[in-house]
Amino acid sequence: MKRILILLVGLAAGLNLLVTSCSEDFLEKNPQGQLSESVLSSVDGLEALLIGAYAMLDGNAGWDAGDMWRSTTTNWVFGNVYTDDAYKGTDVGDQPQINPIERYEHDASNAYFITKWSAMYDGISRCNDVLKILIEAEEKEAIEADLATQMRAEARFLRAFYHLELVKMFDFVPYVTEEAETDLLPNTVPSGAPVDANLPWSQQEFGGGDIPWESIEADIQYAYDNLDWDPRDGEVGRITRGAAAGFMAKVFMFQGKYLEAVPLLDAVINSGKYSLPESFHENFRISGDNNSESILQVQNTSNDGSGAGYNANYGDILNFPYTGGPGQCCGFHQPSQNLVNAFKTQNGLPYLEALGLDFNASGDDVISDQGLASSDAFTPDTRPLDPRLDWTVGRRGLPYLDWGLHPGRDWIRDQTYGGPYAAIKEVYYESDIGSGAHAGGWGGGLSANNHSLLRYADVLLMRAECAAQTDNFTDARTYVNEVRARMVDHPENWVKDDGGNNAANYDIALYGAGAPFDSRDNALEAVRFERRLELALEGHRFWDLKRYGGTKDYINNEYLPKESQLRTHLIGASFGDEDIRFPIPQTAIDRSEGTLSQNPGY
Amino acid sequence: MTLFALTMMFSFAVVIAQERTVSGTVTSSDEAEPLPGVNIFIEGTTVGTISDLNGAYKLTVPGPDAVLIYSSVGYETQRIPVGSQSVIDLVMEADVTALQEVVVTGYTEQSRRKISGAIATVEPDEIKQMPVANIGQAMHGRAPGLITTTSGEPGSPVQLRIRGYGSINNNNPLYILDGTPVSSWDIQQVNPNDIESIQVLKDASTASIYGARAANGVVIITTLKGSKRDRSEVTFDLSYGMQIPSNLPTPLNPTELADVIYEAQNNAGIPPSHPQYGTGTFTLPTYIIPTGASSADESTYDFQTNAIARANQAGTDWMDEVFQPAPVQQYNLTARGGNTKGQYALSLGYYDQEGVVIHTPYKRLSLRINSDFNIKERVRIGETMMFTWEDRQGISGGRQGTGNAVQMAMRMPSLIPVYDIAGNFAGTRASGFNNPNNPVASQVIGSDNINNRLRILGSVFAEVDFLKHLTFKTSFNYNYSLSFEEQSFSYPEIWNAEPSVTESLNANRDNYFNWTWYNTLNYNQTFNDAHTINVLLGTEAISQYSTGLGGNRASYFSRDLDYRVLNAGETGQGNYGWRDEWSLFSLFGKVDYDYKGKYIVSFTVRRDGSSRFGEGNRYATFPAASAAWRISDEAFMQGVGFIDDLKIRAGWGQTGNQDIGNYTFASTFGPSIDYSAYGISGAQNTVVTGFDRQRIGNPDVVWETTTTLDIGFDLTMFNNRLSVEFDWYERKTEDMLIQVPVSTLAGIATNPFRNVGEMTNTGVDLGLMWQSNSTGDFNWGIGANLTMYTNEVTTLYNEDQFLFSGGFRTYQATRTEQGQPIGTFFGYNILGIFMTDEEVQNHATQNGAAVGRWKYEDVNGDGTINADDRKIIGSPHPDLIFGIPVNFSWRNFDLNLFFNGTVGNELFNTTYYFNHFVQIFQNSGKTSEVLQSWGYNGQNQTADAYLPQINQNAPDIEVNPSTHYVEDGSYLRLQQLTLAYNIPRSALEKVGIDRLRVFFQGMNLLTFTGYGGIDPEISTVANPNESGSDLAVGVDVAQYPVVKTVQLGLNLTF
Repeated sequence: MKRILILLVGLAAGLNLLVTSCSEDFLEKNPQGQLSESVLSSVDGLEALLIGAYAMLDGNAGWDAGDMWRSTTTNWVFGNVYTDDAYKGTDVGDQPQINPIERYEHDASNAYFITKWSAMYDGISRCNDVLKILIEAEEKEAIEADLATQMRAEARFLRAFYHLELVKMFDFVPYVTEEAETDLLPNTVPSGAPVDANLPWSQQEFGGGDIPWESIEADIQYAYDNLDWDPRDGEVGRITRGAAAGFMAKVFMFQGKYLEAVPLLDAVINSGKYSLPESFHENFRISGDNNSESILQVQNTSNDGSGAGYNANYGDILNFPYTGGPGQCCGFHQPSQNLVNAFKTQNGLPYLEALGLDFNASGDDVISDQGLASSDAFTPDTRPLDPRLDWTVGRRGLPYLDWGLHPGRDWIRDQTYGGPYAAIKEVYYESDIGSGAHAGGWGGGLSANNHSLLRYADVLLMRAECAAQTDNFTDARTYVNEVRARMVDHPENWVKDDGGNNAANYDIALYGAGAPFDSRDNALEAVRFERRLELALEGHRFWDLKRYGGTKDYINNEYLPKESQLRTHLIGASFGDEDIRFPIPQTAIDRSEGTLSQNPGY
Repeated sequence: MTLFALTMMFSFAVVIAQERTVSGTVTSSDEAEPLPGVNIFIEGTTVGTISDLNGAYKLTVPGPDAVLIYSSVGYETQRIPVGSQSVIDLVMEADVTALQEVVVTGYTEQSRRKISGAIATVEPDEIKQMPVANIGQAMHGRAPGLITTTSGEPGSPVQLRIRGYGSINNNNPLYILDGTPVSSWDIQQVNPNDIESIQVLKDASTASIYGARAANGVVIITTLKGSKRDRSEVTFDLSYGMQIPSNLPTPLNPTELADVIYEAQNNAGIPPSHPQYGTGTFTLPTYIIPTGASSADESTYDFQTNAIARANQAGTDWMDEVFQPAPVQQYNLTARGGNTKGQYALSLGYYDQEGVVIHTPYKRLSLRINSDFNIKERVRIGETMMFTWEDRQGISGGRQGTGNAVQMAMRMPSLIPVYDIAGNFAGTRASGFNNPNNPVASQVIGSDNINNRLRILGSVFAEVDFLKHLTFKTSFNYNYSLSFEEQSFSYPEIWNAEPSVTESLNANRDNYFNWTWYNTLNYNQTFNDAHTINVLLGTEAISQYSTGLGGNRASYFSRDLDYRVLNAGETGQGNYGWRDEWSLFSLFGKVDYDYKGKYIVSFTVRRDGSSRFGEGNRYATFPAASAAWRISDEAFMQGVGFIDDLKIRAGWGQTGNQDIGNYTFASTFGPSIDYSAYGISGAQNTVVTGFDRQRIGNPDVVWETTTTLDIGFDLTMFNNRLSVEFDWYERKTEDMLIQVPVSTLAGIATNPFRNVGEMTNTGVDLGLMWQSNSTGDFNWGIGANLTMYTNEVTTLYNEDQFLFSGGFRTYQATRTEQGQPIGTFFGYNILGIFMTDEEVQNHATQNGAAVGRWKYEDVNGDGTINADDRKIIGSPHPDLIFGIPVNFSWRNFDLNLFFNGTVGNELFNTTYYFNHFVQIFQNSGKTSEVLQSWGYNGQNQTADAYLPQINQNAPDIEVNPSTHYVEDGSYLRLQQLTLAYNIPRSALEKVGIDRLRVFFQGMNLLTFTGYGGIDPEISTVANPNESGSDLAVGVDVAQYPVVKTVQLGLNLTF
């Protein structure tokens, strides 16, 4: 018996020893194809992390965050569809979550909000990873101080940019820095009911809400102080001092701080680094990427090894004509009749109230092919129009880049619902296919056409607005005219027909002395109208309206009553006080363990 | 060695002088024939013999105290004290109770008599008599405590839960196939015909021998063994049947749909119009002219630009187009044989199932070779080997969930025909049809997709009896799987509203290899004919490795099948690859002791080390203990004649769960060309690589531990006619790993796991069986397998922490929260429909409130209806899950019925989102329930109308998860009916056939349920291996339904 036991124990022990001695190595299995934080605290690692932070400039955090067209920084839904510039487009059943947004009836569970929110906070966390690991690298002296400062400046700017996108949407959002010890940061919303949506943004913060303007300013200031006018290593995608100055000015303007904005705008203007190219259209085509007007662009690339084209302008993938033309899909982001009417000119000038005109007067719409089949005869309107119109809006019978004449209804999914127009600025040329444009995949239409987050014309128009706000009408007119001049001076760059003649009756002129640059209200109207024409469909409109004030009255009393006669799905829509900002996404609140509060009125 | 062993034996045994010889003949009771191959050995020793072809045997016994054990598969084991007998002729009784059977309890076998834990056995006969696709279906409802859900999809994995839910993570049991750990996907590939036995270790006292992997129970499956009877036997099984889809939803016909679309606009105050039906009032068009085309002149037809289709004014029944009656067939050829020196079992099986959804076939070819050899007196070696070839065709992975063919069939407007005037596919290309894809086209195009998989799985082992009572076993087990070919090709389905623009091919391959090496020492001895002790010690090492790579290309000049290789693609080149590893090293031990089978105790301990945890947290120890008392053997029970056997059991033990993915301890960053690369230089076609955080790691992660307490009894009464098996249990899971959905401020990365949750699962398993056991022509039996559990998530990090799941479009059907069971349905409570303006005024402020609209409960009473007014609106957990087997036999006929069902559970039907709300996916197909909307055609103007007024601008809140989606999911189903006839022996003998059985079988012939979806048996999710899938049990996303099947078959043995 004893011997059995001894044998038994001995055998067992021997077996154990045999295998346990190597079990520590045996159990050491590390993640495959992944990197740990410590490997990254080097110059190369940090540069790659910083690229990762830049990569969010397009708003594309991957499907985990949600559909990319919801979070894109082109802001075609929140900046354009939400306003008088565009409709959702296509047909009523597609992307139905946009329907309530277009009708100002959205609630906090709408997926468009959480996607935008998650993607921007992803961008922020990427910036904070750079900043955190930068400290580690500095501690172990793995990076030179100069380089560290520049990288920090770029990362801090990007962090401010992503927060600014959130502030534009939601106003009251937590500001997350690399020093945050928890992801559960509170926001501070105003108490009580929403205030009057007609107040300008700078006066909207009644009742103790906290918009993190100061933190945004501090980050941009750091970038401004530490970056050069020229991009680091000559890489045009990088943040420069110009971008910092321009965005800081924008942040000040959102807050109504025109005097603070002026020196920054002047710095950009006087830097000598930027100018307006002779062709307005250069800003919206692949060959014009990073031209002299560009201050900050999203660097889109195509055919770059990403099978699905996620580095191209994926956020706009739905926004190409429905069929036949570029992209095949899906006919979203259709310009409004209201926007097209704004391009009417008389004596080369827009239809300003200050000039006794009404651009959107009943019965005086720019003629469209609404209601006609492509096979029906149609002659485009022959009235005088601003030549920027046909570089902005695709109209029946006019050249649609090199895709031939826009055929009207054949390229439109549901003309009754979405109207007769198509957007152009995000579209590529047929001749770009295979190089700048992506071949393959669902939807198509993807290309390397960069999206401008800030261009020089925007800076000039901000400067003009500051001048108007401070009753300096001469300066205001000068800057507005500078923007108009490139169209006026270069008729060779207007849209041409096959015969090389102007494709429509284009007429544009500079403002002379006197009206509208004769009173603050008139001058502001002219500057703001110019912004609308110049920057149409580039994702700025809603925040311009919000900044100006009077949004609710304008949408409800001027835009919707006429537009809903054309687009019956807008019947009954109404802009409420709460709609001046979007609701904090329900999922964000649900996951915040009680730290996030909902915006007033939702 | 021999001498040594003998010496040892004699040191315990009785006086040598009394040694003598016993001989006799063994016959079987049922056939009254000599029974060869019966194992006869002296109790407490390995000394024994086997009866020969004539049933005769001869054996030398030490003396009159010796006890002979006679055992043979299919017969009751008998224990005969020798006494003064020198000739013992024995009639072996066919095994009628499970009590005497030997069950496999992990690394050893044990007599069921001596089990002190909770083990369920699925009778192998039940499996063999019904042709099923996989083991999961065979187990469906067959034992108390087993919860299976099945999918009607050919080749879908086994979905089994044992005793409810112990974790919010993976609740898959551990499957052990002939000693090899396998997954629920692997087990699906095993030919059910090859199964010898299935044991389910339900409680921790039995399962903890598998330690860290056993928290969800262990299913031990053994396969065919050869025979020692010195004869061979060949069996041929065949079945052929049809699967018949039924209970499909009724779509609106074109007139109804058009009317509903116009009603929706009218009610929204919008002048009605539709691109196809006209403005003002609707007329059904004769032709559907696609967008981009201009004429209905058939002579101008052009497939690319003017694909004209005739409108199907009568309506296309897309459900009917997508579903089909589909054949299923199965063939098996099995040969078994051998003698005392060696045994073999060979099996060849072929399974071929067409899907009831068109173009979803599945074929499986399987080969099994099992053999055992007694190479020396004390040395046995053997192997098992399974080779499986699987062939799936059609759209891989796309058969379940939203966007599948079933869902698309519901969403297609019925005006659209399947084909256009030229016979090409028609679709939603024209305006006004929304964006569903023609599901027939998608399935046809996908039918050329290839998905072939090869698996080789098996073991080689050796057993050595060092001493009479001491056996060493070493076993090397392997599981290798290779995706032999997997590719999918897509091309522009230009008839759809949103087609892709070019052809593309995706091809991938993966490899999976798992090896398990275990060594055990087993000591088993009975002292003084009373004390039996069994000691098991073992080590086990497991290592798993998987890797894959794939690529894609676009722009193919030709769609020819022969042209579908990656190299032929002209653009859009992409590739990807991955690799994954984990390992486990363990020591384990088990001691069983019993006194005359009356007092039984068992202790188990296992120490596991896993690579899935960070250094310092790798090891954990899982102990267990159990005891049983056979009351029926006590003297005071001898007077209670109607009780045959009564055993009370109690067990306690701990088990672990490590199924949380491989590397959760590590924080990682990685490159992604799609989401973290950037064209910083401004170049058009090149990006610079960037990194971003992929996973937020948690180095402190430790094992989930489940502590189980089990109390039960096994009872047989009335001459074994009635058997009762009862267990009460409590499973408490601590340190539950929760992938805490971190704050949305943290960025997009895999969330860290944290040991913050606790869950309790208590329940009762009750098995009852009455078998008539009469000696006459007529026999019958009825049983009940009852499963009851209650589940509660007791801690979930904190009370504001919720886990959402069951996503459809942008909503989540379920929420898991503290104090509630896992995966409850969460949403708004609809009180009814507003009937008067006054009612609207008096109710809480509600966006879009109006007469005819739904009225919601103001749960928090703050006077406003918003997200804070959502609450728990249902639970997927049944009060009772039951299986009722009924059998009758009369002469050569036998009839088996099996009923199953659930009571008291709810289901969440997400398809209502698409099918019931006209404002969602407007203009797409809807189902007939829409006609029951409030006030439609002046009907249903009541507060309890099924749907609110049809309105294009209905408020957003109405499509949110609400009580509208939740329905009672209770059902009663005749899951199986088998009528068989055994051809009389006399008729078969002449042609040399031993046995021939022909049968008719019907599956799911009758179902009684109030559920409105296609079928109340909702398979959990497409992939039950996915961690967290149990957060969305009972969420109907138009899964591939379970359908009726009728089959004919035969079993032939010669």
